[in-house]
Amino acid sequence: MNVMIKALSSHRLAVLTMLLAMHLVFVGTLAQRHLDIWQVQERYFHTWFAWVDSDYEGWSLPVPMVGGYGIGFMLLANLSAAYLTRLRWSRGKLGVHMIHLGVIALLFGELGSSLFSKESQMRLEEGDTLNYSEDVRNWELSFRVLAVDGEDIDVVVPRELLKTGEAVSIQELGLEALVKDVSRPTQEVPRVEFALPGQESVVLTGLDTQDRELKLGGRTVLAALRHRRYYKPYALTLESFTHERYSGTSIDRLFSSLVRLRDPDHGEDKTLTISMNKPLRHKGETFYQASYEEGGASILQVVQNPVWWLPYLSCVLVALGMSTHFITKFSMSRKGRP
Amino acid sequence: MLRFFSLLLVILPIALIQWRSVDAPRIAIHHFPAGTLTKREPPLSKDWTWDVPEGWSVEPPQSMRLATYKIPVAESYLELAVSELPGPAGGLLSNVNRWRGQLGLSTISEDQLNRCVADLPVSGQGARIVTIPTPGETVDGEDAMVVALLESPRMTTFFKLGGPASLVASYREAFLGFISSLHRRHPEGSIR
Repeated sequence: MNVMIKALSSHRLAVLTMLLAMHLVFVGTLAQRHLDIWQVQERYFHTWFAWVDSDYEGWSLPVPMVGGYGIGFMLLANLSAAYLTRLRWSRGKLGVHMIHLGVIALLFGELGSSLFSKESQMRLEEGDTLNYSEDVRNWELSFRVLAVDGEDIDVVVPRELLKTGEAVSIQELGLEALVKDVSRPTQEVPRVEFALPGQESVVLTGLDTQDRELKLGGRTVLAALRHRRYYKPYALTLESFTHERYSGTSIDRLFSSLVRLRDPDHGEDKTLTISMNKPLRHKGETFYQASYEEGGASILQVVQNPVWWLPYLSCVLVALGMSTHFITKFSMSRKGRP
Repeated sequence: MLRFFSLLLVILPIALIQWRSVDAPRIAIHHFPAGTLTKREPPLSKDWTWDVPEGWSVEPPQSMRLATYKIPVAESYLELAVSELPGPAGGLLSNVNRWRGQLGLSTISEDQLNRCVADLPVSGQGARIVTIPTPGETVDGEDAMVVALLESPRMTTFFKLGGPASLVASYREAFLGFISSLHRRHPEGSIR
């Protein structure tokens, strides 16, 4: 046990882990020639092991290496073991303790962000009201029934549950659909083909501009394949969108959205401006002015990260730790102690 | 104590990652008050949707128009043209005078507008109904038009009914009924 803890807390492991991290960042950066940033994150960083494609003059050899989770875990284990076994509790070591705790908090912060944070978008034209944001990298199958018993119902089947040859059963609607074909997650235009009992096959794609009407037990069900939605208990209305360029150039000077936020649960109804570096924060979500479309559509990036405070805490801990360590060492040297 | 903390620091990240990976997505059911969700249709107008009444026929697409309908009336027909322009589209007076020009009528001033313009409630807001020629006005031509203007902060939508004056007069009430039945594409609080 002691040998294991000694190996785990060794400086050699710390250096090896950092070298692996540098290598992973390097190959992850190179991989962005062929993959987008999200795919790179998924394949190289948010995984225990990664397969690095090494292309050389037409030869492709996937090389295994430790992924982001693996390296983070090794670093965390190394740091924790060193912290708990090598460091002794004393006033003189307070700064070092704080620095170690800060870096551990930083690693946990990154782990928490990768596991719990959600990023999505809201695309609003002037006058639009939305109570959802969309994950444009993911899609889902939606069945909607309008005005049944005084309410509208939206039944959502995530992409992961659609598998060729398997049935999707939705008791709420009395619907049993057999999935006949479904596109791969990497396919640019999502597509799904399914059949309802006694009816012809229905094909839906992500390019459809209108809902497909299905007749089901005497009522109409609207089916659509769409970006994954995150519904919210409040709504945003885009009152107006402002976009200015520097005179005589096509360089953006300013773009901002005047939005009305209505949250019936908290009795809130207020108008605010979202612009670059001036996001709106509401109920744990942050709305950034991300982009726009010519013609007046504003695109807001919606970020939900329950552990957003951890990196700040870790930075404060490390900064305080370094200051404490410096002051302690400085005062010790003044007193003639090493 | 030391061993417990070591174990916790090692196990916690693994447990978190494994928990998230088995936290599989599942079918979700969302309930909303009736009228919140709307049917997704290919947009004709940015702001309005409508049901085409029985008997109307859709004419081939024309530039600057969202749609053109042929409406059979008393063994003849009227034409309804739907168009949409950004913002206030030049304002009410300039549009009225442009339409008057199309019928060979002289321009009118701002003070005379109220004689040919009336309001009609549509889907919680007002539509301007323009009648040309102005009621009581003596004209040489035989044609007339009734135009509904619907304004929103971003667009102005026009529904222009035109044809022989007698047919326009006889179809006027039905036209106003059609305008009253328009739906806002995204009513307050509705989602697509």
